[in-house]
Amino acid sequence: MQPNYLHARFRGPRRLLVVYLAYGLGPLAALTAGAIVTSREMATSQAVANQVLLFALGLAGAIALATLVGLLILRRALGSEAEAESARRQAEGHLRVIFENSALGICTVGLDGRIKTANPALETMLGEEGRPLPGQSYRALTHPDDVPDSDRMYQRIQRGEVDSLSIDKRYRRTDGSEFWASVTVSGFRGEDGQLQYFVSLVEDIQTRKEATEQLQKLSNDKSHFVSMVSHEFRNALTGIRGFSETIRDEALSPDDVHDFANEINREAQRMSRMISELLDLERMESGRAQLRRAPLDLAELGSAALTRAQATTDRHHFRVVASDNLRPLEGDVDKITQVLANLLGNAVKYSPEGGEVLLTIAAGRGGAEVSVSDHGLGIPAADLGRVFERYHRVESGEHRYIEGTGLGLPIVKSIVELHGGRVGVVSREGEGSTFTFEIPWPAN
Amino acid sequence: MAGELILIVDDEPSIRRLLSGHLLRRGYRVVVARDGTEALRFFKEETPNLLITDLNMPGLGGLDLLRHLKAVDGLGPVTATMIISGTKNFAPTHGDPVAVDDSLSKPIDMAEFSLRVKRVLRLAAERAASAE
Repeated sequence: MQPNYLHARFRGPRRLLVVYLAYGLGPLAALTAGAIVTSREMATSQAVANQVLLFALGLAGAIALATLVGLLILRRALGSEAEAESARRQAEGHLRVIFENSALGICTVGLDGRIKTANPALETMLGEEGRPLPGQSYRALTHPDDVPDSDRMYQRIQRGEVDSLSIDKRYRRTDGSEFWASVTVSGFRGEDGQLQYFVSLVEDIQTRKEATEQLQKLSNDKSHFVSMVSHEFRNALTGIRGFSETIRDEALSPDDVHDFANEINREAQRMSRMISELLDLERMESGRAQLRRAPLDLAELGSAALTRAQATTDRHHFRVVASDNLRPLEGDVDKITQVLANLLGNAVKYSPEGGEVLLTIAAGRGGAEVSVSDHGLGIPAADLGRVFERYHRVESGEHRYIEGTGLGLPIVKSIVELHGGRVGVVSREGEGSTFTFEIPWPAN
Repeated sequence: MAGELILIVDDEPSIRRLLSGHLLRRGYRVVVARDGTEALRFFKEETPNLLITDLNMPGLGGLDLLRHLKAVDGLGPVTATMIISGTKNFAPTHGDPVAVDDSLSKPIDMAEFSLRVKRVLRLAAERAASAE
């Protein structure tokens, strides 16, 4: 054991001990031995010599004991150092396992904003084949709108205002795709207190975010539904109540009484139509609706629906073009009749200037294809994707003067989908709309 | 004093028919509009003694109509304002700078409606007189 080597490895009181043992006890022992020899040679009598010897032996024994104790302490010190080293290795190993296997993305980020190390989870979340994350800047991987927030977070930690911060932000992968993540950044400081690098924990919260948004949308739809229904019902009730009070309280001509009774009747019918539409839609959307399947003659149902629609208007003329080679179809006669009535009714409603309404029934590859075209107001591009949604109503331009519950098209969609078919719409604002649906051929 | 000019704004045809018939039979002069935009157009030509507007209308709704009239076209003290809402607890002044003289909720009690119309017309007449 080299004293130089030894003392350099210890700090504080331990270093004092080592220095004492190595530099202090050694020379002291030599000095004691020298003193014994010298005193024996110089002793004036045997008794004095024996006393000196006894004293010298005692001193040597004490020195040996002290050395032993010193060595024992030294050994323990060296032992705990080794234990600490092994514990440190073990802790490092634990951290390595966490780093490598965590579902959380973990990386260290240098003070220049570049990633130093990244765990496999983060590489999977953000990385790209053949382009590892280390070396890339967090800014380049962040959605441009969220870069300022990220910068602020790193700066606040760098300035020592906080030890750690969390934000929700969007990352952008090199292929342009994006995802929301919850990011926690902490600063790692050396013993001198200087910031050395950042540690970032990244949790992908895209799915959670989408689920929350979905819930929010459902909740909004529900509030919208409640306010729509109460608005419509209150309007209908206002007519019923107001006109009946008028008949009761005022002296009216028989013609007026007749007209007002008509108004009451119309409002009552509107209410019952709304209620049955709501219940129908609810049944279908909750999967409780049963189709009464029977042979379906689309050409016959089409022309019957056309006749009924024609009776409601004298400004429109209707035309039907039905293919001759329709294969036999199966479906719910009442429900398909409702689909045709809703589409033809819309065609009339949304072409207030009148014009031709064309119904075509053709044999497609997968099923019978039906379309209803008008030359009316058309649908603004912004609304086109939402016309089959519940309660969505086009409320721009002339559309807002047209009455409706916003349930007609969702009902069409539900019925057609119950039959295994699909719906579609093509429209241009100011030129008219074409609604289509397909009822698939029976499987056999 | 009969013969006052009343503007009714509602997107529901049956409610326009109900209210206008009711007021016409009581000797008022009545004009109707289908929404706020049509009502604004009317205000450019004439100043009614009473504006009765529905709260919820597609396009320009009742509150927006009133705000617009007050801010841009200057709704004078001559015109009484009454809002008809679809909800029971509509508070016209609560948290909103648009104040109206009266409000009613649907469904409307017709006898009550007559009384309220009379009351706000008298109110506006007094207000106009004191403003002069």
